Amino acid sequence: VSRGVEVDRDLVVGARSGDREAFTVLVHQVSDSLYAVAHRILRDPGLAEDALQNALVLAWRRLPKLREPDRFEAWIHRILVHACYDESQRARQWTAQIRVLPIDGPSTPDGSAALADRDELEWAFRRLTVEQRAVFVLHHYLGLPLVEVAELLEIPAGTARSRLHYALAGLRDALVAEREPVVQEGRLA
Amino acid sequence: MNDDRTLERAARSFIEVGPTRAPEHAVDAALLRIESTTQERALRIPWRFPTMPLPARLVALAVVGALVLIGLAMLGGTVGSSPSPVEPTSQAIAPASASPSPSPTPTVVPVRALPESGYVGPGRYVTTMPDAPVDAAFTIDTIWDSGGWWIGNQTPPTSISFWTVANVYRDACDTATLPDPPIGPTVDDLVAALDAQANTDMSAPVDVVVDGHPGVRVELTPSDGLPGSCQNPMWLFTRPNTRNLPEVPDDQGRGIDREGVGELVEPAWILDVDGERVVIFAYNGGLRQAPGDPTAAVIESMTLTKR
Repeated sequence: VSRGVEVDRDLVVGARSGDREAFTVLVHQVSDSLYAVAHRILRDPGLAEDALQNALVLAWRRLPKLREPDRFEAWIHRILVHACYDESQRARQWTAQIRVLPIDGPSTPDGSAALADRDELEWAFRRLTVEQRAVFVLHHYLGLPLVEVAELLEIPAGTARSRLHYALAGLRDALVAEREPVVQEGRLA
Repeated sequence: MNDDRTLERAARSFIEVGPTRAPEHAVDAALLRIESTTQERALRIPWRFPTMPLPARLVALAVVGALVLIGLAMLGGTVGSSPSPVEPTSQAIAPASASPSPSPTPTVVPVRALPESGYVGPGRYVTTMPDAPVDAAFTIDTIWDSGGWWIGNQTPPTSISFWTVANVYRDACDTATLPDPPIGPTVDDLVAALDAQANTDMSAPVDVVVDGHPGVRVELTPSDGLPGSCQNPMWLFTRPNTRNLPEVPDDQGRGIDREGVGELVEPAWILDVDGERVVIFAYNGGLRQAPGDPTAAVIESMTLTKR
């Protein structure tokens, strides 16, 4: 993983054989990277913490099944992304996405050409599906080529490309919608 | 520079900002949970086992044999009295395939709970079907590796595993394809779903009876012309959270590994045990079941009891 950390292969082998101390060291080596990815996918510190915890526990349980210790980083990131999917789904069951849009018109003359500010991007990013966000973060934040993203997520490369494409399209559409004038006092999105 | 590239650059800058360190309390909480969490054994590769050197196997066989003899001797001395404190999980039942015998003194066979891990020696063992109120007892006469709900050997590559099926993939090469609603609960429902599964060839079902319980035996094999990317065609999967299996659907499933190219057949015994559908996979190195196949003797010795 391009932006990940180097892990000690011997630790992976030891942990795979049930060595808890080795796994504890591994956890400290990978947690920061995993949390950073989870936070960027889920856009919520609480959900990201839960995803991190679940991913680490699941990784410990499943470690004996890891055939190639050299693939540990990609493997654990895959578990993390699935944990993010689960957290996202859980969150959707309990929360309603409600947002009151401003009554003002567009803040810039050409919304699509100008840099969006962070609030707008945050809003737009949250509108993407969690699968699209995962591909976007793995590709653009972690620096993985799309082929490796596809391998990591065990999806066809075309699907990864498509998700990235629709992620950008979704961002653009959300930003355009954000900047369109709203005549009423507010509306639910 | 077009708008999309500007937007992409802005979005990339946007996701750069954010935490880069995991909260300590989250990591500590995970480690705390891990302390009380046991590791799972490999699920989809019970026919791949660490090589146990021949001398070690012989030593293990001798030790296990001695223990069995001691156990039998102790049991013989305690039949009719209180259970032996040495083997609290042992119970005594008659073997499944016992035929009427003129022997005046019925043989009592100790039955041990199949351990969650490690090697088991000759004897009779009992395991609980995953997620079903059914116990399966069987006899083995050599050393096998045990996973609690499966036994396996590396030489020759064989395994017997017990499954409760939640659903069947519509396409063995695409675990995202599930029948909705899931398949029905009967033996026929499962057979029909496997027969309809894309990228899988199923043999004609043969009626069988195991320990008096009716069912069918089919042989599953990957279809010809499978795409090269489909290295692990999957037949079916068990219910989520069964025996703490990982919550990743792919890893609860049963399929076949095409890595060692061969005939790659997997016989499945689909049985109705007093209304409970259970599946026993008897992997025989990817070959069709044949006389002398060690899995056949184990199946033959089996008793299936609904609790």
